[in-house]
Amino acid sequence: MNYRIRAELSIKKIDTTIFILDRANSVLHSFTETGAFLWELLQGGIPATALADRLAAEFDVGIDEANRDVDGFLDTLEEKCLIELNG
Amino acid sequence: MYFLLVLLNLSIWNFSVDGHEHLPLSRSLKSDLENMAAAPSANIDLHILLSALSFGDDVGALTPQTGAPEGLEFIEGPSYSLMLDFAENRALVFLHQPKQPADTAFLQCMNLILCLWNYRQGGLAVHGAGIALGGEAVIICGRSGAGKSTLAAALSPPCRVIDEDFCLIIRQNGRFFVGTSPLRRDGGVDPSKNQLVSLKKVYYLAKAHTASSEPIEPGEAMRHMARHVYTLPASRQGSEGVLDAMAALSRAVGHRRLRHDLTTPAGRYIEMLFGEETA
Repeated sequence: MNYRIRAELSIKKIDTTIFILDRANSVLHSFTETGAFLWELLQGGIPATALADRLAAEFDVGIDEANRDVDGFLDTLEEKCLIELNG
Repeated sequence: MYFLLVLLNLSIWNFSVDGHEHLPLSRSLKSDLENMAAAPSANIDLHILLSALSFGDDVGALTPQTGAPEGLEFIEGPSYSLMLDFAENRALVFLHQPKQPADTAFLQCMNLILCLWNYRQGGLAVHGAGIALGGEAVIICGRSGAGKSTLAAALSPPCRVIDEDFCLIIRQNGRFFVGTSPLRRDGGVDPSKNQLVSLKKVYYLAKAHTASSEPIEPGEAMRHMARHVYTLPASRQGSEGVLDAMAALSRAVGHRRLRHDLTTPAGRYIEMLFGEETA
């Protein structure tokens, strides 16, 4: 399952925090370290299926926990209309 | 259902809602604005308020729509829609079926034009109380009922309240200044409002049992600031301009959380707001 970042977003990074402005809904979202890490992977075109492995390697967590975190993160992004299914 | 709000050239200074209701705003507004824009002390760029209110014969070609084409800014307000064409320096205002006095809607529209123009210049507009003392200003942001107006009133005098609710943060030569809209509800202008004061710090208000202030990091400052930005532009250029301005402001100016109570004397708050202390 692959996602793409919606086009109506403007993105700014300050220190380790990523800010995402949803222009269509006039809402500003922000991600701190872990969320910012995953978001930048998505921005770089990394498929969702590879996110958990990268997260586990970067933050030294087990793969099961990483999978749960990624699933929750993607659900949140979809719920907030920041990403959509690709294709 | 929209009703076209006809904003004719300012030489005919009234407007009609649905062709029936005429609102006699101040006929002197045009000359007031022109005088202010021409005055040596005028700092806020008022030319946009003059030039944005004229448009050609192709009004019908522009209609409200979701999102904004490049070069246009479209804002959906509570009782109006505004389309601002920066390239042509013109504004189209649509009043919805009026739910509030039209002069209030008019004032909101004019202030919105000022905000959007200011965003284009790298500035911001925030809900907050602007307070000046000795050539410096601070902005106190807080939700409705947080106490910013009460605190501002308690500090004046010796402080001067720039505005208790609406501050324009204007960027000039890499520095930030505080001003506010010079427009009055009755359609006139207040020349004393057309002055800028150097921005020293931005405070975010929180109620507490004892008064104190503490610095906050740029990332957190930006989150706070976003809650108080007057409106978010719809166009890519406009919204990214606001993000850039917030990022620049969060780094260039100190941001602090201000905890306030009802018993600390005003002098203590003045020390905290304008002094160099970090307590």
